[in-house]
Amino acid sequence: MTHLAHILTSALDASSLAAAADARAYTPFLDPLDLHDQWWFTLIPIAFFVSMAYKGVRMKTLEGYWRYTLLMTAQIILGMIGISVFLYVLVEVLVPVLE
Amino acid sequence: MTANRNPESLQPPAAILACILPGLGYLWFGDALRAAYVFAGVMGLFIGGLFIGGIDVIDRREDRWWFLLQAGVGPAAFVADHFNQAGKSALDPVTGDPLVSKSVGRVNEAGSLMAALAGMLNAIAVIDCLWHAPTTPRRRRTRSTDMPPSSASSPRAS
Repeated sequence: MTHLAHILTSALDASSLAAAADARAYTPFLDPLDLHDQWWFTLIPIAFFVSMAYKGVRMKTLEGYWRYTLLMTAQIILGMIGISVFLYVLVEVLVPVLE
Repeated sequence: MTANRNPESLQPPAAILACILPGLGYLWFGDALRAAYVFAGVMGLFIGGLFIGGIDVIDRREDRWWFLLQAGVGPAAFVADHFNQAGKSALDPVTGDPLVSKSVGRVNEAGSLMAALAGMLNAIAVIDCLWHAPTTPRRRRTRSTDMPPSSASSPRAS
């Protein structure tokens, strides 16, 4: 009986430790997001917030602010995609042909 | 960049306010909407960087050059660095690991970049506030009282 109680206590301790470890597994702002394979998704918030701050400073009047902000966001994202495609073609296609 | 007819001049109080909190300089000029947009843009980048890369992306000791750019956000960057330094030395009571996880790889780069962009954009806002047309309510009141009596009085009164 004592042995059984010891096993149960150990199991409870182990489960509470595991639960605590799981709870500690991710804490916003203390731990980084697990975006190592999808890191390029971060381009979207970067482009949006850069556009927000930049247009907020640069526009003479704030008429059509959101339209211009979204336009600049789209321009940055499309520009980065264009640069990526260009570099991919340069490195993977053109350079092997020239070698 | 506010459109008004007053000539631009040096505005140190607005620049100091913009250094303290992003957007506060525009609030000094009475441009609350612009202040809100600049605040949301800069702090969105800064807090987004902390969220993506963890608070470890703000590290005055280990990432000095990144921090030089991130410090443009103002006291918020120094507060984040303080918490990061304190969190690195504090241990988790359950696992025994440091309370703040080490941020590495692409996620660390993205978070650092976001916080650095926030600092640089706020630096642009500070420069814009430093050289700005005075449009504070105080100045407007002063101008209206400085007007000669003949032009200050309304046509109906005359």
